[in-house]
Amino acid sequence: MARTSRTGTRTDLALLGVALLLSVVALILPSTLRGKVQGSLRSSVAAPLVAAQAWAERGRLAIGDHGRLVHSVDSLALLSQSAAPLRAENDRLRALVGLGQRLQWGFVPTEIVHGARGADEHTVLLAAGAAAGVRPFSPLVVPDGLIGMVTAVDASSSTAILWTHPDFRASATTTDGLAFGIVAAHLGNGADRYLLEMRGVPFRSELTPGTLIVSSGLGNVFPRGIPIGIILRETKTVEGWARTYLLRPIVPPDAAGEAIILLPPRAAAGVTTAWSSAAAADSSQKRIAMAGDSIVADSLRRITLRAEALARLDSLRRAAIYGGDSGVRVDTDSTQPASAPQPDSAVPARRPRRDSVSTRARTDSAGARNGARPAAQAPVKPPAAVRPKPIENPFRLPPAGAGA
Amino acid sequence: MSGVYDWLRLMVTVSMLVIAHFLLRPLLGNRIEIDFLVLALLLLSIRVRPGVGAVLGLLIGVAADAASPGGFGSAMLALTLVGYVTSWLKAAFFAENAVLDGVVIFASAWGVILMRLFLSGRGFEAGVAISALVWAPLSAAATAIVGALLFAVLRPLLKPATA
Repeated sequence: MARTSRTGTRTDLALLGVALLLSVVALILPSTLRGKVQGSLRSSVAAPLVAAQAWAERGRLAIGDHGRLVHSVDSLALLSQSAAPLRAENDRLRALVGLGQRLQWGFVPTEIVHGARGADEHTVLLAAGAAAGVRPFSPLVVPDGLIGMVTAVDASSSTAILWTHPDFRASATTTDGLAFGIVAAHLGNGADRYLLEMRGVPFRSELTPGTLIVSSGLGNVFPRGIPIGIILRETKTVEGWARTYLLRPIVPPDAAGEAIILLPPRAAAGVTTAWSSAAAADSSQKRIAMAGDSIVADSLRRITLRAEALARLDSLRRAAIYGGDSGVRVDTDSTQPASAPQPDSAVPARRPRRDSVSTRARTDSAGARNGARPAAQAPVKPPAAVRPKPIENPFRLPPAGAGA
Repeated sequence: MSGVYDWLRLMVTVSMLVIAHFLLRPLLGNRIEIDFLVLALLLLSIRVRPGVGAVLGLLIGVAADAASPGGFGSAMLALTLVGYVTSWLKAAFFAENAVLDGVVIFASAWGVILMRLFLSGRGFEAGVAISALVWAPLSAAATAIVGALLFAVLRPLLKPATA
């Protein structure tokens, strides 16, 4: 009965009717007017709700984008990891093409097939053979310099030894051609195994660290001018008639995947222009360094001479003060004219150095000993307790009558 | 005094449901959506006369339509009817039966979704049919589950005053 009274009231029905009417009116509004009403609602009473919904939508998109972003970052990381080797290979191949352009003719580009790890790491297989003109003893080079030499050739492939091979030898010289020697693998232990040594350098040829060593062209195997290594230091050898230097190789033994085989006619014609820019750059660098060193050395020499002159001057001054009988003229003291040796009485007239402790002690002692005698005129005789060791004066003249 | 306190607690709960509808619902999913506005309207309408329930449904529908890109008026009409009907059927909510609560909430939510679908002017497309027969029941079911749990938890706190 109570429910019937509630639902059946006219007020409820009227409210329902009004609400339904408003809803239907909202539904049948023209689109432009509906948009205006909707826009006004969004910008007024429903603004916080719309803002909250927009914030939530952005959050949902951010959550969805997180996975995509992680995927993109992972893809970019993979791409960047593969980009570095590709860039290195690109640079290496570009350098090889540059070397080929400088050589212009008489060479065969080839791939280097390194042996399996644990096998003979000093011998490599080359993908070019006699069909391409390769002959034994052909130099194997890379854009940086010499890497090895062909030892055996068949029709389509060949074998080469790297500079790390114990049998590898190359006649070498400095870029200025002043020192010659034989470069071979340094058969040391550990990391030193991958160094070179230059033997038989004449004892008069002293090479400084950093000197570039190139092939000398002697022996008709390696043409002159191919960079081999850089002087690290001199090593001790049992022979006393020649020097042996340790070299840092220009080309790491396992760095190259591609190389160039110089054919015999090209090797005979010379390749000095192919690496001359590098050698010239090295020489220029060395010259600049040497010029800098000479400037520094000259400055040091001047400073040393100046210090010696000042020390000598001070010695003379002390000798003149303590000796009392020296008539040596100190050049820096322009107030004293140059004259012949003077007697002792003339010496106190010279002003002692004010900053000398021993001089002050001597002056005080003399004043105490002489009583009222002015210290400036007292004989300069420091007491034995504070008197320093007499300084040998090379310019001291013998006293008057000593020679008689 | 206790009546004012009850209404205050009710308003806080309804406000939280309205905020959850605009803040939480977009984060929960794209297709199966929990209609917190229906739950808020049900909480309110069972405490008022049917006419007032209809007006409350109209106001909540205005908020829902204002935040929707299209179909202005459809939520107003649907929630007006839901508010009036649930207020008239408030005895069902006094039964303290969670299943009955769930059924009423499911019917209300599905009805609102259907009315909004068909009154939004999209016509009878394949997508509308799938939404009406697949996604709408699933959304209504999710709303019913959440609503039944919510009512079970809040029933001691939100005990309706006798009208």
